[in-house]
Amino acid sequence: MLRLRAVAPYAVALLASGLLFLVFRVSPVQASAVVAEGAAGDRFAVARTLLKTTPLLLCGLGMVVAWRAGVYNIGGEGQLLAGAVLGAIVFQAGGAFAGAATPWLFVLIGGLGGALWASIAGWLQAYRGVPAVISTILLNFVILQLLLWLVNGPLQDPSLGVPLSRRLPDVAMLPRLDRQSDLHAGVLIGFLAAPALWLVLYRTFWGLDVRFAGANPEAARANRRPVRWIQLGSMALSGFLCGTAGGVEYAGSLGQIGSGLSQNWGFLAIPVALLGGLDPLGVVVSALVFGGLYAGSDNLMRFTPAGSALVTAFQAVALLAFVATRAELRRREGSAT
Amino acid sequence: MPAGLSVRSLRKRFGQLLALDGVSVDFAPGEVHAVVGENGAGKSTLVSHLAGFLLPDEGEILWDGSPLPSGDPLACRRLGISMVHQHFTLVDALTVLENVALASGLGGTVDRRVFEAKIGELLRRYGWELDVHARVDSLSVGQKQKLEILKALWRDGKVLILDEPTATLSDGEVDELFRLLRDLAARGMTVILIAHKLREVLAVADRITVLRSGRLVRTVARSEADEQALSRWMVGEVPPMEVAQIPPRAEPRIVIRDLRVKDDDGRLRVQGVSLEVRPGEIVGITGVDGNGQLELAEAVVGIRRPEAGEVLIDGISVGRHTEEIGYVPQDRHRHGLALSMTISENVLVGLRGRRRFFRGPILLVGRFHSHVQGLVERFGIACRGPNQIVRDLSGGNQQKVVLARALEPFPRVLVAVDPTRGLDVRATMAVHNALLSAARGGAAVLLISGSREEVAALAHRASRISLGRLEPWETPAREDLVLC
Amino acid sequence: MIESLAAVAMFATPTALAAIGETVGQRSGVLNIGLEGTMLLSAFAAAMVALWSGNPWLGLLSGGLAGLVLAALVGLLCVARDADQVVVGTGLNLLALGLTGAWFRSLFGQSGKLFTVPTLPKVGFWDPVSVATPLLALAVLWLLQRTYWGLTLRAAGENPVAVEAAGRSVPRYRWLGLMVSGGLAGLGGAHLSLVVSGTFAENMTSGRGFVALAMVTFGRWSPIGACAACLLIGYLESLQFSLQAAGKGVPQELLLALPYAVSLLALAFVGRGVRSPAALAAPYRRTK
Repeated sequence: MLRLRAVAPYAVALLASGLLFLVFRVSPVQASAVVAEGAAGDRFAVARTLLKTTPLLLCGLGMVVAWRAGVYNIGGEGQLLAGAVLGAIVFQAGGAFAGAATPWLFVLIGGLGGALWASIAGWLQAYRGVPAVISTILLNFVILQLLLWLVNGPLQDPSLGVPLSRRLPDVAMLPRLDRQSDLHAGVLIGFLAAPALWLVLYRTFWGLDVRFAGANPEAARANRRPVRWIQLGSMALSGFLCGTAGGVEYAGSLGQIGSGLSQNWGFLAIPVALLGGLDPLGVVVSALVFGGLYAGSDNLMRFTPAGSALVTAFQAVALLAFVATRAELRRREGSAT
Repeated sequence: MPAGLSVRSLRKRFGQLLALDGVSVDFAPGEVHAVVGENGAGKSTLVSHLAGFLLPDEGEILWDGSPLPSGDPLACRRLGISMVHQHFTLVDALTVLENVALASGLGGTVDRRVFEAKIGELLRRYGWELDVHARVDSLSVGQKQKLEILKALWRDGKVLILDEPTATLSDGEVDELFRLLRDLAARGMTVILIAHKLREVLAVADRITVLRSGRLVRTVARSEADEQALSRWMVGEVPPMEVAQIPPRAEPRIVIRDLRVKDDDGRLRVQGVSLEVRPGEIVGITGVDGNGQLELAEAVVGIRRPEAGEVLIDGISVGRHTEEIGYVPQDRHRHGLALSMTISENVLVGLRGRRRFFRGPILLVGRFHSHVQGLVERFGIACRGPNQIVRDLSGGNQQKVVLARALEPFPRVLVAVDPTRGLDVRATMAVHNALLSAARGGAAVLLISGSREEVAALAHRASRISLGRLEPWETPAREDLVLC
Repeated sequence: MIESLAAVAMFATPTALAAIGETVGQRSGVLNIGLEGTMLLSAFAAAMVALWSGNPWLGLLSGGLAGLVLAALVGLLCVARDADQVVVGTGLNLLALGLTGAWFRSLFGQSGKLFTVPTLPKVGFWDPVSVATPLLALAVLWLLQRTYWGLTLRAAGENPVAVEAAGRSVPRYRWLGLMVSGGLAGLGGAHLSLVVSGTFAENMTSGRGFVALAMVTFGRWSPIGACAACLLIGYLESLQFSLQAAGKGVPQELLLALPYAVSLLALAFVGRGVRSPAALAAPYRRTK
């Protein structure tokens, strides 16, 4: 019985999403084949998949920390942008010194940027009662405009005349893992961060604090746990993870920031995290699946111009079907008692 | 066919619990009829059926000879049967008028003038002062209760049921209420009253029904009862309990001086409490919910900062003492446990002296697992193991988890609030034994409980808490608690 | 002067409609995070129907209907079954993003060829929906304060136990609250594509749904307050055009950020002091 409860929501999610393809007059079987090829068919496909998985995974892990603590962080996207932006600012301000710096520094700076941005929302919730679910989204829009202003103005590369920042020198970019594809060492970070986060959540006292405060904040308080600090801390860590994704994008793939910096990774990481059961190891699987789907979605263009938007819709349908099934199972269980 | 409300062989189950076991009572018009019994005796369950809030499993409820529309409070209200609940069903953010309108069951647009007029008339009739347009959260407890009664009287009532109406009233307000009830009865209404305080019951009731463990003990006229008799009928046989030993003379461990504590809404709930508890002593505080118990307990444990006064443990302010106070909170689901987490996790989060289970930041899983396994055995927690989710445990076992966390490592101070609420007899005894052995082991125990029987049995000395102040309480002599 | 006032009203209307509706929804106890997605899908539906039928009023109606359908989805998951309201709302927003993107691209290609939709007829500088919106706010206020329906709905969001004690059904009132929220957000989305932009573009709502949520709080859960707060936001939105025209040196991007930043400040300012409906977003289980 326990097995059914765990498996059924995923099965229903898969079924419902399959139906979605039919609505767009795409055969789910054909689509799956084509997407699979685009996701893992050759080394370029695998590289594409891993590159798309990385921001989903890191932001997804960020979502896990925050949501487990009971803080609805919807601002992964903004925190990712904040990370990349801070990296670019430091590069420009640091001049020659920054140009010779190790690329991992920019990854770290990205984390800091994200942590700072997330902490605004964290503070607002803990000390002003502003729900994170609203403030993080508003902050997303603010940082987006900030980014656009910066790349059209102060951070713009003067030699280019287009909204892009100065390019990082190759030495400051993350080392390539494969000469021929775009695969860089940044993809490793997510796979290292996931078990580390698992350890923190399930084997440290702080992790227990986070999970307990999210499960029952009143009981946490009665057990003398500092709930406000826990929420602030988890928001900061959450932002750090998302900002790291921004740093990785910046110092790994792009080398410069521009208006097309992110393709909504931070936002798309939310269903990734939820479908991964808000568990670090589950998120690895979930991020790989959706990373592969997005990597393969270009191939979907053969059937429909909808492309990656269809995958987004797929994610949404899967999530809603998942949630619906779980809620229905809960109701059945409740009445059986 | 007797006029008025009657129940015949009423039986009601909640899961495993048999709340009512074949109860038959007649409630006649023109009299005040009180229903008394200890916690869990079935009083609220019984009267909830009368007002249509519950459906009986067996038996029938008759109104003037015909069956009552069960499970339909609105229909019952239309027949003139209304209930004033113990926990008010008022909407704080709305006004007095709006609350009455909400309960009136009317439709369309709200005609304020009609309400103003009729409420005004009722207020005049009973000599009450109430601003019809005041928001409910600005009213005193006594005024809120008047509002609840207004809601009930709105539809020319025939039957008025009140559940523990005097719980949070001052003496003057109690007198006012009783005058009203007598007046209503004189006009021909059937007034049914659940009460705890025997002295009050004897002051106002014409007839008294005693329930015990879901069964009817007897229904008597006022003239046939006195406090001792009622106590005996209510409590029956007390299982032999270890008489708590008289503690050795020692310096008080808990010192509470002039404590004033506010609740989350900023209202002063504890209004000047002073108390001392010595090591090895169990001090009891009894009283009905809502008189400041929760805030007092939280201040003593150190999770709520008082407005004034102080709490000293071994001479040092409580804020510094997190390692030595065990706490059994009132509501294990709200304040004690996270139901979705395991036994181990729930124990760990409140564990005092947890350093020994960690190497640096990392938890030593094996060592801790053994520790919790040991707790499970010691406290007799029926479960599949330390990794079982707490939600799947029975209420008694959940409470044992809370107890285990509070008692291990051994605390110097133990604060327990309603520790046996909702537990069956066996679990209750286990909890009581744990409290007694804690005291024997030298802990200073503060027991706050709505069950007078519990406090009487366990405490060396006790007070009553009323509206945030402590008042002397006569512990019923043990002989009175035994069935004759 | 009148022209600029009409422009402000026009910009404010989509957000204001969503905010007025959400006021009712939140007062009944339901938090509709999916407001953004509702507006987006309704904007798309309205634009498509108007384009194909040539009739903007039909488009407006479709937008409203789309809003109702989405609200029903939220109701099924959150009121009929106790799913988490934030998760469902976020899923809805994602669904709207994906569906509108997919449909739009499959109909108009990747490049997103621009098209114009038939717009609502204007009287002078004013379109009928902009004029109707403040009147609607007043009507909703009257409904909430003066009728038994409104009274019970408000009670359902404050103390659902009191509503059950009065013999009424809490889920029913929360469904109704959701319907109002979704329906008005749908009209708002339709207005956005039909009147404000005259076309559809991917992700055109740009956070208006969330601004509306913020304005509900800032307006202290009063339909009039929320509507007025949205007017302020509309004014800030209109600034990007007027200031540009005036040639002032304020960077456009920062102007665009203004509505969001101001919303955030408004929330931070209101923050602790204000009491939301006491039972907001807490799933209610009947005790029987």
